[in-house]
Amino acid sequence: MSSLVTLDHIHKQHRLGNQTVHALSDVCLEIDRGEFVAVVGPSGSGKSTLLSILGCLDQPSCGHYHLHGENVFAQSKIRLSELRNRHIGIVFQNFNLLPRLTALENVALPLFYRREPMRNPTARARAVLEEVGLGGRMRHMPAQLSGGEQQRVAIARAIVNDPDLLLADEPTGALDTSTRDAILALLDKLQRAALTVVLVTHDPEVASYARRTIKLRDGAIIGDTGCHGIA
Amino acid sequence: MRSLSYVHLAFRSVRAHILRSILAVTGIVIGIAAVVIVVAVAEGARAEISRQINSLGSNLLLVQPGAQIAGGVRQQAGTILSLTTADALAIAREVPDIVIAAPFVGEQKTTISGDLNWSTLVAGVTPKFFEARGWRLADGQLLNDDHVASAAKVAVIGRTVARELFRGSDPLGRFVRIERSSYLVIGVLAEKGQDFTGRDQDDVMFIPLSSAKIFTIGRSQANPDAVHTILVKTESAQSMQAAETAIARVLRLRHKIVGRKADDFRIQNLIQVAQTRDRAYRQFTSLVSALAGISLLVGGIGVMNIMLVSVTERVNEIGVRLAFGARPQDIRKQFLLEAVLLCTIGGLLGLIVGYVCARAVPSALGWPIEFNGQMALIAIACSSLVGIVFGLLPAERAARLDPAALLRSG
Repeated sequence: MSSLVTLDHIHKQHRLGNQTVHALSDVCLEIDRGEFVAVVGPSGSGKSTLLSILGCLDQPSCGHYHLHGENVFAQSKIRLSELRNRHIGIVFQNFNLLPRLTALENVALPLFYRREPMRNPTARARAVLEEVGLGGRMRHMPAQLSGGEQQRVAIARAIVNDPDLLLADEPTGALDTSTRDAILALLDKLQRAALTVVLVTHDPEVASYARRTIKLRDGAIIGDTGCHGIA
Repeated sequence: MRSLSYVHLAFRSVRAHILRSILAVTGIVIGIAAVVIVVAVAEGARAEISRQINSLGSNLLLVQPGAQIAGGVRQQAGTILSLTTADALAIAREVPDIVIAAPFVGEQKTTISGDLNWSTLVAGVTPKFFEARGWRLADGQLLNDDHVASAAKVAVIGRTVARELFRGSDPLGRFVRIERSSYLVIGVLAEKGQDFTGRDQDDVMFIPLSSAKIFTIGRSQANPDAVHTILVKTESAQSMQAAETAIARVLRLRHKIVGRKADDFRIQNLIQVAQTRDRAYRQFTSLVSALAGISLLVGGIGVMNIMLVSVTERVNEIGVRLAFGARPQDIRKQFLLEAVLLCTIGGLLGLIVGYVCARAVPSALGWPIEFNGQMALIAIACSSLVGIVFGLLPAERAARLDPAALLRSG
């Protein structure tokens, strides 16, 4: 069975002035469809960079990334946009909802950029908002919603296009404990419904929700509880 | 459908910063207002000139006696009596491409009917004159060759004279007295309005050339056959230049002017006279056009500036859109459309401001103005073009943003 995600000797360097920072060095990783993976590590360990690459937002300096067997960084920018649109959903720590759009419009955003438009995008967005428990808040602006509600809207936006891969960058970092648990429970529920979830966190308690934990330090994988291990 | 959504998107973001948007497009408003004024004045001038050409009659040349030189000072044109009826006949006979050569004498006279009097231009003409000037009858009949041959005391009067002397009653069959002669009114002319000098063309009374010379305007002792003007109508506008040269040749020959001696007559092209007035309008329009150009440039830079600010402010929004599948060209389209919308709103405001200002031009400068729908299209097209040109850079910058920055900052 082929993996959903295959990272093959990924390196990523940033230039900071005249210094070269190795954000990722020689990362190899496979993630199967339906896994719930937590990526943990101290800040600066390369977690966010890894997530950017998984989300097709950033290019590695060298190495290969196969998503669905497709060599991601050999693709055109347009195909990359399409991959982001149809196969990946991202949830951010600070939600990143568009402040001038209603909850419903925020959720419908990925549908707006679909290459083959949906027949009734609003109905789809509404259904997903109901799924995350915000059926009554559709016309609210982000500023009128609590942090937990905003993150639910963000999750709804991430899954509205039925992606294969849900990426979450410290999704509970800005939330209090009880809200955190509710959000994690929601992610858990989505994962059980056959979604692949990769969660970046530095909080071991959050990481404990995942079935598999990958530890990063200084840009390298130093531990993986999953069956694949370091290839 | 999708494009419509982009327009909707652009509307929302313009509305989100309404004051800033309006301030940003002030330059566009001024520029487009200037464009509207320029077009209104230019259109008004063009309409006025074509009206004048119509009222003068087309393809007309005016041949007048030259100015007399008295002690080195050139007197008013027509102070020497060099032109004669025979000259008119000779021009008609010898110059090709001429339709009409009509002699004319005229003098300001007091006309009297009953207890009303009115000072007007009394003109002695032949029937061809009406044809040359394109005069039409409103009522009655025109002068004919018999009237001229028999020096009949009949008159055809203009609208203004009819109104001043007869106060609404029918002038036909009534008499108008000029000094000791009474003329029977046989026709009233259709209204013509003002000519390009502002003179009321309807303030006129036409009598046969022969009668004028015998009874009313008087014969010169020196040259009893003299006329004040010969009106020449050519077949086409193209033949006017050639006709002018040919008329000069005929007259110099007849007046025995040889070598380098100056002409004792002058030839005016009436349309040219009308067109010289056009120059004042042109100077004004080029001045305001320059203002329009500068304002649109400054306005465009203002819009570009505000769009660059907007891109910087919305780095996050752009990143989110890219992260959820927007292609760079989608982002470019969104920001370009926003710039175009901003400028088009400026254009619409400018259209209104320009309309109001242009309405003030006729009373302030005495120039006619004319509005048409084409002008609105030009204004909107201009402002949209400014939006495209000055929106390109900010839109390009937005489209090239790196979505990875979203996670690094987050």
